[in-house]
Amino acid sequence: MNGHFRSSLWGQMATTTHDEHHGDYAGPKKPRNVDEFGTASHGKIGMWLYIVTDAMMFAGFLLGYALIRARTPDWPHPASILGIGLSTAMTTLLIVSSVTMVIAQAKGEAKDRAGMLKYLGFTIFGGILFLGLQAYEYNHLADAFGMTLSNFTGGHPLFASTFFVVTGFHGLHVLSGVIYLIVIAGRAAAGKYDSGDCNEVEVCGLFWHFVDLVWILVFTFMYLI
Amino acid sequence: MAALTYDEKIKTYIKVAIILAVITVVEVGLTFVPHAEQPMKTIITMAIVALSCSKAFFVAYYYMHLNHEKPWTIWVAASPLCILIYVGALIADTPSRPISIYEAEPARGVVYPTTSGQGDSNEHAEAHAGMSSEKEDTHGAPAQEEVLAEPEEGGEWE
Repeated sequence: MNGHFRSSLWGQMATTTHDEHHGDYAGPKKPRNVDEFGTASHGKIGMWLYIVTDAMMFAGFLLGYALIRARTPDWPHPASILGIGLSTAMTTLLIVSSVTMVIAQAKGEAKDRAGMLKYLGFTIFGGILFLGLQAYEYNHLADAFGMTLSNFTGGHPLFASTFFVVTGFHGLHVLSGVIYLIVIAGRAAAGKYDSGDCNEVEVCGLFWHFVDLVWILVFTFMYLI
Repeated sequence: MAALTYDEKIKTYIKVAIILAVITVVEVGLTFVPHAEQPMKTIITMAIVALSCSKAFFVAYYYMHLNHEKPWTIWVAASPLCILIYVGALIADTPSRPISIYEAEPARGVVYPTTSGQGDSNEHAEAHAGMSSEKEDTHGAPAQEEVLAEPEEGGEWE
């Protein structure tokens, strides 16, 4: 009964797969009959939709943080507990790694594989360095103020809870971004983007810039003010 | 997008990077302006938030290439901004909320006095009443257990 439908569906999928792997690659697939999205590929629109949901999650975190902070008496001033110098260095690091990411994409579009790999390497290095600094920061805060998810000797424990939840989730995003970048760098090294079509690099870059963007806001709300 | 040469792209990226660096320096500098008192506190806080939002815009518009996208992609990308409705509602609702989020449900050991025979836990609770920073600590729990046990001994409740 369902057999015909199913086989035709499988047939379609098989054809698509076949085209992708063996046919001449004609640029990123574009949504058909949707002029409103212009040249944006499926992958790019999908990544944007993911970023939208992720942004709402972080917005929820930051809103919850703001509400807890506004309604809790004797909230410690963040600058007196958290190191502004270290977090400014981390911010600069992420912004610089964003710059190297767009340069890597530009290199790829200029069909410069070695240059793209070099700048992807810088970006990955920046991400790993950021994670290292964050590990050092957590370690230091645990030593100096007994900060864990539920304990804090310098004031209300919710200060530590909100800090670790928000920055921890961002750190996980950096970790996944680094893994994503390593995969993309591997594909670049294999020559997948030699045609100058860097759609996958751009989509990966979208995620990486989003991580940077979120850190800019987290840095402001959790460290500066 | 295709019209741009490699040099043009790099030029834009470096320009934006310099703008971001300058804004970051200004932001961090603003935190060193004394702003413990109220009028300055609001001004500095608002300035820092506005600056960081402009930074986020620069990253999204130039590095995430929204300047090359069609309006629909930009609308999709901007849709999380609808969280601002919630922010506005929360700010408008703020005056009607208690000062502490714990006032709605106070620490039980503080509010319900225990009987005089159980002075140990009573003192314990009172000692903690003054320390607002540790209100939801586990120290309130023993006193509450004894309050709950009271009706069985006295039989006067209800």
